Amino acid sequence: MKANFKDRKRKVLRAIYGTLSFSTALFVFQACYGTDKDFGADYYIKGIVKSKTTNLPIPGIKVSVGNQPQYDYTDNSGQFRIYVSRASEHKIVFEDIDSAKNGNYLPNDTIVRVSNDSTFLNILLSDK
Amino acid sequence: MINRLTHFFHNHFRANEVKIHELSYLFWECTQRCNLKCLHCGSDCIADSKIIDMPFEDFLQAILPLKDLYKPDSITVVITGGEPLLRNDLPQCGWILREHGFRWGIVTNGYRYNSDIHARLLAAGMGAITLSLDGFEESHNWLRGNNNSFNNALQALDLISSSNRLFYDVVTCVNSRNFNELSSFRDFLISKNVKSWRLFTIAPIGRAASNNDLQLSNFQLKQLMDFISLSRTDKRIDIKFSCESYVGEYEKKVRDSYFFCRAGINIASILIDGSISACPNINRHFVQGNIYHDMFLDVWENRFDSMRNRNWTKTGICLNCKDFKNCNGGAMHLWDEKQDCIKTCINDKIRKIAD
Repeated sequence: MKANFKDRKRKVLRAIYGTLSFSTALFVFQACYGTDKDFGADYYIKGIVKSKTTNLPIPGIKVSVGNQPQYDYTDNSGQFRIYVSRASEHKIVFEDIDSAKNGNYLPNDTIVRVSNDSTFLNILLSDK
Repeated sequence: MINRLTHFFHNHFRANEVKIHELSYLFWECTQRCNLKCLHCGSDCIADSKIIDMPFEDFLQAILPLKDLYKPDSITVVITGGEPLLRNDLPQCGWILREHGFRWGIVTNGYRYNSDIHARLLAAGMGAITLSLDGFEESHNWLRGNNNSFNNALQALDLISSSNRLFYDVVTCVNSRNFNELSSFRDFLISKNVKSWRLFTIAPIGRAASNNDLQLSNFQLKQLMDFISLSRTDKRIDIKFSCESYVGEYEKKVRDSYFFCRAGINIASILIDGSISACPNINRHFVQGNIYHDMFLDVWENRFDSMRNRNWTKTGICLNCKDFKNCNGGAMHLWDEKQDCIKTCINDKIRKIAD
């Protein structure tokens, strides 16, 4: 990282000059034709969905988040990943929506309590 | 007196930022294809652009060395175009950027933004979005050259504003058609739960260079500054003028901080052909290198002289301008290859009203 003495001095000067010019947005600015900065208020959930009967991964399971629009489908190795808004907890729902294509499974859900950076879920679905 | 002092310190702040030149925004012009025909397009994008989209892998390989020098989450990759949503691999690109620690967002016209793409982009860790909305239906559709563009953009707005994850704003290009509806449009945006609204004028570049109908009169420019300034006082919406120009007496009344064009200082871009520049709408004469034969990080660290030392801009109408030390030659996108005079100066136009 940029951290030599000269850089540190300049960053101190940045704080001094910025404060003395009474500009609230000097440190967090927006590019002229760009978006706002992303301050990263989200949370990463990943995991794997398997059959409770065979313990084999299940592809094509829809993984959605309680009251948010995000969703993902498990891939061929049963894995999913999803970013969600940062909240104290999330209800994650697992649904077999491709009828009998990859077997028939009952829906399941779980509550994820948000910790530091991410959560890994091991989910088992029962046969219908 | 206080203003002179704060300007003084801001000018030192700006000079110090040039020395640090910490990359904060990185634009990726991922496509030049576009699904609209905007009258004011700064990059002359067309639906059937012959220039193929840049492979994401090329972009990624160019920016990965940034991780040696920066915390990647301090850099926001802004995916732009053309219209970025015309690329079907956008969520996949976003996933990979997040895997490497970069933050990302998109600038969109909203035409293709629906609940499915909204869900997939959010799931892939998109954190910021800017949506263009240029007034009510008639004004918007006229400028965008498409009769459905307003309705589609409005659907996009409803989705975006419903997300508590996204940092977003609406941008409006103010022109002679939508000028008289700004006040009611502000109230409309507030009713739509929009928190942040940025207003631009239309720069005489790209397609807009040959269309005088898009330009505001000097008096309208002053009225626009008064409108923004007044609207900021009641705090119902975070309205601001873009950083496209120094605006003299209106500085800090129309935005949160003094004018500071950060092109090449904190902002870089990788353009569709691999060119390395600052904001994508800057004249291509100022391109600093190309990812296909230069190291992006090396170019960022060691070039960009024309943007980090703007003494050359003291020419044309800037030569004897009393505000030059505060303005520092205005916005880079208003200079062309001749480098002899800025294309337009809002401060100069507003001053002419006062004179």
